[in-house]
Amino acid sequence: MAGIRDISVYLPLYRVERRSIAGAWGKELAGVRPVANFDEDAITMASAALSRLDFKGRSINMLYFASPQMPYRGMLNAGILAQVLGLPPDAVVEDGSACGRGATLALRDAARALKSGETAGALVVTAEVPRARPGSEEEQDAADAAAAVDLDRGPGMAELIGTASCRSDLLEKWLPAGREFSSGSDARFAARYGFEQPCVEAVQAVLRQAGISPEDVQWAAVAAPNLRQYRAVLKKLALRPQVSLEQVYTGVGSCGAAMPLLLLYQALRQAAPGDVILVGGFSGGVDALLFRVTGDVLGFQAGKSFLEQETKMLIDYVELLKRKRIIPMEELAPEASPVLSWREREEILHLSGQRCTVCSAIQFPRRRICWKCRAKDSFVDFPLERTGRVYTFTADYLYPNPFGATIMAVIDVTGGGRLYTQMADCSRDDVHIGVPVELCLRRLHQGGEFNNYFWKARPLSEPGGEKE
Amino acid sequence: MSDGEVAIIGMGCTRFTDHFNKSYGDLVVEAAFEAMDDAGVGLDDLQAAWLGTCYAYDYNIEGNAGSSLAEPLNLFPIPVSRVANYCATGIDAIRNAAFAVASGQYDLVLVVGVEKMRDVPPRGSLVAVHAERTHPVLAKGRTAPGMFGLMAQRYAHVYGDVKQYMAMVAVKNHYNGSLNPKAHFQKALTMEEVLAAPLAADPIGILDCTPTSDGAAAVILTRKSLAGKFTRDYVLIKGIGLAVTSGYFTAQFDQNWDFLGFSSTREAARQAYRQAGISDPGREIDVAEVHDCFTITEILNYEDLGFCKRGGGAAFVAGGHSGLEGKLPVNTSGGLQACGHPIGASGVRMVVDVGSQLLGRAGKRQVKGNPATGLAHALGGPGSVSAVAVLGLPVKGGRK
Repeated sequence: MAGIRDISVYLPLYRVERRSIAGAWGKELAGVRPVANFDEDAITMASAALSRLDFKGRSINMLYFASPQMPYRGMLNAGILAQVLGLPPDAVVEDGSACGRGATLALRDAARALKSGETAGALVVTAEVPRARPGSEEEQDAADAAAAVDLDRGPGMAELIGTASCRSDLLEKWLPAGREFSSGSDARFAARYGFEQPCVEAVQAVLRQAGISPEDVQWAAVAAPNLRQYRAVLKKLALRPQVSLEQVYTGVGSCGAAMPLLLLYQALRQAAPGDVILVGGFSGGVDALLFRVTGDVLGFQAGKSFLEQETKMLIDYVELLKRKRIIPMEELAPEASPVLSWREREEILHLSGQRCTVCSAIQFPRRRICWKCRAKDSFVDFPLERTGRVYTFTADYLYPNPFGATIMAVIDVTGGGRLYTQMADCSRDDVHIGVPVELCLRRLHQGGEFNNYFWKARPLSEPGGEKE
Repeated sequence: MSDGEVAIIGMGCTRFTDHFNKSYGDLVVEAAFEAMDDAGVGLDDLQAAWLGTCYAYDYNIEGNAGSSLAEPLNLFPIPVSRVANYCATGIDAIRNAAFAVASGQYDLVLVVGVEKMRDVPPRGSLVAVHAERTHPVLAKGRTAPGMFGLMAQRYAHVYGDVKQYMAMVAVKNHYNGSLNPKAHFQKALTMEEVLAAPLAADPIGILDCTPTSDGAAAVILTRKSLAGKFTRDYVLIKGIGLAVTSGYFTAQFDQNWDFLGFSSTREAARQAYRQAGISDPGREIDVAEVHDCFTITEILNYEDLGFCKRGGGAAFVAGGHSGLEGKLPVNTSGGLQACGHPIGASGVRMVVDVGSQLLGRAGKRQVKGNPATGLAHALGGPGSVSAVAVLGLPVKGGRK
């Protein structure tokens, strides 16, 4: 057996008005789309999604990370996330498929490992930070999002009761190596043979497998190229219309690999015990997964969903192009060393300091001699909490930054320790002494020709923060 | 070192400004010879030398070792050491030279503080050092004004809005600088101009900041017992303290720091006051040069040096006490605000300016009432190191 214990969604704070994009090209569109900040990438967004799961105390030894925008080729991207989470070196850590089926394929693989007993707990995380060609239709609908699922061998709040897949074997959307923007084939051709046909095959197969008829599927969390095709394929399959799930299409947009998980999250928010949820992911074919909801789902349904989260500042099209680095800009490339980054990885990626075993003083960064009692090498690990409050700050206009003032803050970390770091997702007016913050992983710069990730402080709207 | 053991018998200083047409070596020669001429000594008389330059190779190829001082002056083959301790470099170079003289190992030594920062654009010097070098992620985003912006925000949070008091420091020091032919900026500023200036690191505006400058300053040291041989005009080093209280990259991670002042200044001052026998600095110090890299820093320095109580810094400047006519004139030279801050040179310049006040040579900026005890204070790193020197006059002899 394999089931979902928890699921989380991370949407960036900022939104762009589609009117601003379309207006640059002489068109008219309405609505907003989430846009990642300039210091976010697939890894930082995946980290944000993972931080919104609560798996403290559980032994997780499997992590799948799937994103079409993996920062690195030729290297294990998921390894960075494993370090952030503090997974042991022998955990199964894997980069999944870098396409729209990345999350659904990873769910299948994780479920297989759980059922076979290879592992007792697994995480699947996905992130989409697409860069679309300016002026393209893709650009109008592209949305930045990340999502994560925590699975184990119990039924959890949704037990996996069937999986099926069907390939499409045609070119619908692809990004050749060395090219900057994706290419696409004829929209109607891709819709019919690239999505609808394999979707019908896969869904009918999984329903047969589980012995369930279409009218007994309460929720169809099926990712489709757009809203029109979503409605059309549900009709074709005789599945009931999904008015509430349509809000993910209209309120968020097309977020590729993350889409099935955003839809699944929304379904679980509203599902009743006993409901059946169909999940579908597509790209070069379709994966269909079937879940049965249990009584545990009721504990998942409190608080705000990602569709209701606070959004800040609508940015304009030029700002979008800057953040996606479609407009080239001069950026700092500070000195960096892979050796130093490895030696200090506990602090840098896991935010771990130490506690002195002689006098209990907390040390961050780590050191050999206690700053308080001078005891030598007498420490135990002390990972800092990921929340705190601003003790003091400033907005720096001198530090080279094409995106405006750099806000630096001294943070009193909850439970002990102090962090001095940049603030994220805010302007000068959002900050004052005492503001509660969450610590989030961001890409500070690309000095040394690699991504230097570290933790920034992001204002929370209320103490303790909102968890999606 | 015990009080009065070491004497400063010669002092020299170049103009501080962008000396595009002068090399590092040119600045060394100019300052050193002014000091040697003041002491009536020549190159052949120097037995050892100390060089204070903070950063070598960051914006200039000279300054990494004693050769950068020995070569332009042809001091070969005497021992020359380079000292570096962030902005406390200059006073620390004097401190090390003073120990050598006090020990009896050398009778006559030269100290030169020099920094040549303007062979690159201002952004290419200190901002680049912080942004492009230093730790790749810890404190990344920090700049010099940024460090003090943190202090000003916290100070305002605890004691009330401080920006207008910062502006008073700028106005005072730029006025003093307008009377100082060696200052980088020699133009008085108004409160309105300072308050309206664009921000560097909120609430610090660009007219609350010291400029980037080139310059050198020099002193000649001997023992008190030998000083009279050279000149009637000399001052004594009554005490020098130095304190290191944090790391450079991790200073702002210190859980014990209230960001309302600097323990390094307090500790360095404690050492210097003990050596000099000072128990009430607010009354016993007659004139002072303090580290005003940013205007907020001067306000904090008044408190850390004991010129006033904690939290009383804003009122101290507002009451005119640190003005030229006040009870404890501070930065009569114009301070770092008007003189500029060639890092390694500043501490030595401060000692020269304090010495000049005690010897009655400060011209239009002369503090009245025969000042007899003066103080020089430097604050380095983000406050991780500080040096304080107390100067006094010999009991007999004294000033022209």
